[in-house]
Amino acid sequence: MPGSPRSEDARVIAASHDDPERFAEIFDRYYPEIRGYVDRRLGASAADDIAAETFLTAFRKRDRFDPAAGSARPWLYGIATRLVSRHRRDETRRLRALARASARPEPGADEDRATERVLAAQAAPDVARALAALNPGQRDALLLVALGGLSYEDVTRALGVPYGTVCSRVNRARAKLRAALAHLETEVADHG
Amino acid sequence: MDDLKTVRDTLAGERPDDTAAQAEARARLMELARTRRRAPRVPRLPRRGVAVLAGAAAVAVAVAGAVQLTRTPEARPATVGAFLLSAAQHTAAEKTGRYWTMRTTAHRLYRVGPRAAPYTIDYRQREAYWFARDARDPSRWSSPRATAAPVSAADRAAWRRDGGPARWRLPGGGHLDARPHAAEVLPWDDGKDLFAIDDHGFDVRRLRALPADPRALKARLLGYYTADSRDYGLDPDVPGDRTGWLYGQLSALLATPAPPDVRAAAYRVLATLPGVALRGNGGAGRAGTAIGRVESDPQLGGASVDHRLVIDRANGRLLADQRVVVRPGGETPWAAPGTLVAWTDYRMGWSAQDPPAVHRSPE
Repeated sequence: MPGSPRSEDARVIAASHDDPERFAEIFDRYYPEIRGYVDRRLGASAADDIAAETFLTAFRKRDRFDPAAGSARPWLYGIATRLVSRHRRDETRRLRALARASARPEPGADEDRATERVLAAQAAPDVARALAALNPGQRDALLLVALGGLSYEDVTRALGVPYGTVCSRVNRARAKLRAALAHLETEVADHG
Repeated sequence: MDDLKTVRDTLAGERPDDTAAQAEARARLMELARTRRRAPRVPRLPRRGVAVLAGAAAVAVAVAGAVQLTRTPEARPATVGAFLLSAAQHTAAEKTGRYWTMRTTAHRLYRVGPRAAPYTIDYRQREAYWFARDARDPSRWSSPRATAAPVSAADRAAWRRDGGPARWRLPGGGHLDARPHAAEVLPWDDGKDLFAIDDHGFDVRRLRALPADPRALKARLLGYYTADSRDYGLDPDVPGDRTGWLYGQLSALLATPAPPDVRAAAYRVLATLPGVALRGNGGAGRAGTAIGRVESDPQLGGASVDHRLVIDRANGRLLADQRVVVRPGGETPWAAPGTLVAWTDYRMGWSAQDPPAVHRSPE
């Protein structure tokens, strides 16, 4: 598919071997979403640093990019995730703080939407606690799916672990998450 | 409630993109790019010296092993220890070649289809690898090709009623896709991450540097074990099953081009682990004997599986890695005790032949 972002990334990265400045196109295409992903995981100031570092690392390792993968997206998320993993303590501290924060939903006009918002706000401390309790492999896989919108196949590429491992990590992480939210479901059922 | 959405809602992010920070990041990248404009590519160095050292160590281990050799493939080992030591001796004595070739078929049973009429499919992914012993030779792999088939006659009938699909959505998210696609042979990025423990990837060079002494190998692997490194679904506050973790790492190491003496050491470490027992003969028409260790998962309602390794009695190679349900639950609550729920069949060995040429399917 000429012109699709998929084949375009591989073409640009190949061209950047002889013309390094071409790599700016990869930066322009993916910087905002990579920074957004890290912002959600570690907060804004770490996000600025790590997003910048992600593209420097990607540039240095551009020989390693597999053109068959097509899109550079999973590869970049993988690099960003490895950089995030150096800040695991900060992430855990952040999640624990979110777990302690009290849920204060705001009333809304639309009743259904309001219920949804109330639910989301009620769920936040439990979600944060469940995320803090996950082991790093499971958390990385889950957050690549939930925040990055990566498919399991993409997570395989991003983390360099086998497909089956990705499935089991995400499934286990989601099972724990659902277990942590089960009491909310029950409350909704009781009221509804 | 959509659990993934709750994650997105909880981790909202602090502030949107800052143009100054973005401009600064872009400037740093461009500065680096300019310095690389005329930098020559560094040629890769052969790793012959390391290979010679590994060979010498292999001889030492073969001599040190003072347990009787199982002469014929038919011989039945008396104990799990004797069997694993014989596998270690066969492995340590193996002759290496230019390429470590490996064909794998990973099977996993999934319960799919409509909620009212679910059925079980065997989802298979086939892959092939050609890992060069010498970095000057290219390493290749053939990307996974998936197929799927209903398990029983009843499953087949339910699958037909479901419209005979080749693609399924999984209840826990994600999908399975067994639609045919062309086989590809791709370059394997210098053989990195042949074996991985969490964030620690092992390429051929690092595999060769692993200790060939069982105690040292065990200590090295356990050195990577941290409270964070478990993938057994245990609560972080509960002491983890270090033995189960080590058993898993050793079984993964047996399916890599680690030098013969390192894989021999892996068998010797397995022989020392509590809970490892013989599980009889078998192995898909080959002369295999199985060992196993039951692993349980308190997080998943006490479900337990027997993690089996089928080993070739004739040459000590790993033939299969299998999970058999002991106590139903976890990810396969529908599977009865004794069901083989996930397994990988291996064919591995050294070869003198060139790997197939790179072949990409058109997008």
